Amino acid sequence: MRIGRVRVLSAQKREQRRQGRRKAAARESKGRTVGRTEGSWVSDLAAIRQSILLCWACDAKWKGAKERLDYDEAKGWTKIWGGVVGKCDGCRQPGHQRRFYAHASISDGVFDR
Amino acid sequence: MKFSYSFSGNAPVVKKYQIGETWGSVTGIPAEIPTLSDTDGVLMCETTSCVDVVGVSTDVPVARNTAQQTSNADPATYVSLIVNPGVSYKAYLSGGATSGTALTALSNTVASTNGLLTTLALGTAYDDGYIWGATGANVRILRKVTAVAGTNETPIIAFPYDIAVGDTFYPATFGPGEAAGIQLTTALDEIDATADLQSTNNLRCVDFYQLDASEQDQGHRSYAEIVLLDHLFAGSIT
Repeated sequence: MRIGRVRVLSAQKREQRRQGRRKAAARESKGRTVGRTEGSWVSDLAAIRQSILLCWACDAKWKGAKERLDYDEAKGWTKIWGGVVGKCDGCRQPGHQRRFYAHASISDGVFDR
Repeated sequence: MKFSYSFSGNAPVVKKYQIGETWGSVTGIPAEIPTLSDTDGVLMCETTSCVDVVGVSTDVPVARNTAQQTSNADPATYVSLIVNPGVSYKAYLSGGATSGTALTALSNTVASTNGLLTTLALGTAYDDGYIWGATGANVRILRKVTAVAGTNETPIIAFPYDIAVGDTFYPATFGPGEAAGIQLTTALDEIDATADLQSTNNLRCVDFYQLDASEQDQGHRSYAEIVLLDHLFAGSIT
């Protein structure tokens, strides 16, 4: 349906999106299991080449890790927006200004350097 | 496709979601929520259909696993997605259904002194498409084709310089600001610039960065900025 220049979704489509958001929320990763050490969880993510989000505190701890050498940081995203929004893979805290890392083998397809 | 910018100026929002099917081996794949209740996890979109998109992938998940593991590790497999609605993504133009195919430069066979006629034998798929100069006087100048008849094409606005025999042009079936949808390559990470437009697809081009033949020879690629119109996290008004 269109009102003037604005397109309003139908009631059926709005309900479809509501259900879709519930499904998506149910399938979102819960992240690190409580009680598990932070470093081992990030190492597991690195072992399967997953993207890694870290807050400033956890990022400092990961700097010296061996697997950090296999990752590229999205420095452009940090420079423009201060980082990405999401849940830190180390301390599980959601928030802004997370550093984003993509494995070097795929980072060219994720961001420009 | 890669995150380019958000229309609201927001930073990328990244979340990890369980996958519901075997995933592709590249990044930049749009993911959608399944409509069937017996599918558990997000699915890859189709080349001609992107409905209720959750986001665009930023990594390649390991092979999907449903069986219990001997180590008692969690068998669920996840993919990271950029979930912002209202985002422009940078997607390279492919000269075919396979990602990475170079665009084919077509040679003009009849000279035009008014810049309003090219003879590239494009075909009807390029009616209302776009062409830009690869070599010759009109390099990188983009024009919309209003009519295709036989081997002739008519741009709406004239090219600024005369078109000589042997000048080459790159064609694309879509362009910025068009109402019709774009088709993705089979790997879902680039745009098939040769496919006819799809009325069912919810991908729209908002900007176009066309390169000439010398730039393409140096390994650079033309790309388009595209938006995913049917996004799960968009508001009720689009």
